[in-house]
Amino acid sequence: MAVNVKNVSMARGKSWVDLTYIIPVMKGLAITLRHLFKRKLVLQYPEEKKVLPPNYRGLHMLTRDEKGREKCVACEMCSTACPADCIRIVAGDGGWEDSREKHPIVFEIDELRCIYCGMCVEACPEDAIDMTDMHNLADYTRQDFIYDKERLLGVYDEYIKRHPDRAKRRDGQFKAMKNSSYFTVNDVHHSDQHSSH
Amino acid sequence: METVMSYFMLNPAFYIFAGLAVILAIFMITMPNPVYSAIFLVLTFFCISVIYITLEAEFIAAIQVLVYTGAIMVLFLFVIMLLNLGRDADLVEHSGPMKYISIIVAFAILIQIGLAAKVTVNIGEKGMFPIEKIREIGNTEAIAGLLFSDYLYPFEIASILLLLGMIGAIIISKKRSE
Amino acid sequence: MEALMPFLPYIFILVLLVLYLSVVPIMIQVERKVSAWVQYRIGPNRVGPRGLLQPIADALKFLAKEDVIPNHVNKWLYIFAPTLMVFPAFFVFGVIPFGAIMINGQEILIQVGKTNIGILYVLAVSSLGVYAITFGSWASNNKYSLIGGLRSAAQMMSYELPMGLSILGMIMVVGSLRLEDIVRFQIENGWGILLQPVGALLFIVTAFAETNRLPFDLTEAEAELVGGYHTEYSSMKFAMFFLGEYCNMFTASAMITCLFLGGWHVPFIGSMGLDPAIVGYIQVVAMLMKLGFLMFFFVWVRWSLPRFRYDQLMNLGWKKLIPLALANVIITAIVMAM
Ligand code: SF4
Ligand code: SF4
Repeated sequence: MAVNVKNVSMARGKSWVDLTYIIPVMKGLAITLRHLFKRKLVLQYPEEKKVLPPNYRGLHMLTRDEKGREKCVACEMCSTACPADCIRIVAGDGGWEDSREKHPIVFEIDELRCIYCGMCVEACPEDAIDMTDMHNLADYTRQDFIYDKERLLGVYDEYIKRHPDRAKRRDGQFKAMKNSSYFTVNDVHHSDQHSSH
Repeated sequence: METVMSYFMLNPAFYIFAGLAVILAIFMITMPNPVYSAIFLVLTFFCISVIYITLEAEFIAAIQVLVYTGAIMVLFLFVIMLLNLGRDADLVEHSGPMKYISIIVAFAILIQIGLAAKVTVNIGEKGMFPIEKIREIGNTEAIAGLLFSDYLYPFEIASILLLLGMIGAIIISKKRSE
Repeated sequence: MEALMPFLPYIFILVLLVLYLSVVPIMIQVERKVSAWVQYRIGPNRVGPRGLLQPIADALKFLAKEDVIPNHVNKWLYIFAPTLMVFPAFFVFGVIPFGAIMINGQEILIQVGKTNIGILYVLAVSSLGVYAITFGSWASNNKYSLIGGLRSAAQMMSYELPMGLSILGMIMVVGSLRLEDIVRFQIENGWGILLQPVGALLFIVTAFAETNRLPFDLTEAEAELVGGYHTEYSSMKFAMFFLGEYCNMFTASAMITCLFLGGWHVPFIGSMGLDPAIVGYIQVVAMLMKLGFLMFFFVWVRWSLPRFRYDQLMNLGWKKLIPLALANVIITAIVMAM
């Protein structure tokens, strides 16, 4: 489709009254004068904070299971999905007793490289990585922005302290999703056919 | 020596600013950088306008500042800056013998002005507008009265000359369409 | 009171000086607040009650900042230029009449310098304001600054003409160059804005151009020139330029008031039967209020209108304002001759 080109010409469709600038200028002044008395739309930040939506994509966290261990199984789905390539995982033996083959020994996210797209969260099969509403990060060096496993788990602890309800709901949601036939082989097959058309 | 002092005491402001004007004018022509020259010219104009004020010619003083320092020198600076005659393009003397000839001519003119001044100062008498009358009717009114009555033709001719200059400048700067 | 009489001019100088210097911090606060309100923001509100001490914080910041003189500048002019900025506005301010008060049954004009040539003096001195910007921009040895300075020179040159011509109409009507005479004439015959509406409009527009305020602030033009002539300036020298801008605004407001808004005149006050001594003081306050409104007007316009393009500016100046001003002068002359 052709782009709609709008020809703007001062002279066309304007009377000479407009061309003297006087009336338009007065109209503009009237608008700003009205603004002077209207309600102001500013939050006084450190005192007042904006309520962020639950699906806000801020700092990451690594969630814990019932026993307080990280849920992550070091499958590296997240680091594969990450478009910014900012997740580094080194896997280690997870022990077999409760069906965990691997767990991460090193789990680092470079929060300065991250573009906060949330792909890692989407990719994770264990709901082990999630995003919080923390966005006011500040530190002294770039090195400090590479969050390691302990710090990411710490973020989780802090997060559920502030939003206990939210953590619980998220957990339930995930279990329900896992037990349902959310992804079936048929689905995958179907979507493949679609794309071949 | 006494006579010099008595002249000085007569109107110290005049002698101070006249001397300053001469010194600044010398600075102006000896500066290697055109922008500095322009600045000293501005200061010279100021001194001249102060001299006008000591002569109680406030109108001329104001016009001197308004026209010469406020408009013409700004244009000069504009052109100097536009041509970008910075530190790299300091003015260099190329003239050779012309320099000495011009110095001689300058002194000749100086002597001529001096002679003319001597003659008129000694012989000239108070005209139609002595200082008392000007104080009474006002500076601007006196000039306006003369300009639009006795000197109307020279005034109009001067304005037509300026107009011609303006039209000429426009024609020169305008690009030919062919 | 009697003993004070010989010192009156000095008292006036002192009062006006204090007024003049206190205007700048007030205006900085007003500018920031109004700009905020126009944009639905709150504006500075942290320093002091309701942010009222913000100007002091600003001044301290300027003083405490490191004073950088870049290596590539022309040192003498670079230091000289900002100091030059404030003087023309200051000198003009001296001849503005602020009112006439009665002391011992004697009417005394609140005016520091009395000149015969009034407005010519104003025009002459205010035309020097361009030098600060031109010298500053040239001394900075920076292409953005230089372009800013060139623009400023061209702009001032082109707008001085319609400014002079717009005043000319008023001078013809009044028949005097003295500012106090012009105000007295307006008290008797109505305000200048009614006598010379076109002249008033032209003068206000050109005043905006001469003070380099939006919509004519092409010398600064942050978007294209990175601040223009003061790109290379920092700390107190930058503050001087800043100060100069507000001083120029204040002087321009005073000129508009004296020429077209009746100076210290308050309409119908003569028919109220008040004591003339009190009337004098009321009128001084009225003058200050008019000044305050015009200063607000400057700020208000700045946050309402976009900047002109350079060719639009020149077109407006040469092709619209000058012919209009000339026509105004001619029509005034014809009407007066009839
Ligand atoms: S949010 Fe996006 S960029 Fe950031 S770690 Fe996750 S996948 Fe990578
Ligand atoms: S966070 Fe999730 S996707 Fe990433 S390695 Fe751990 S389990 Fe796999």
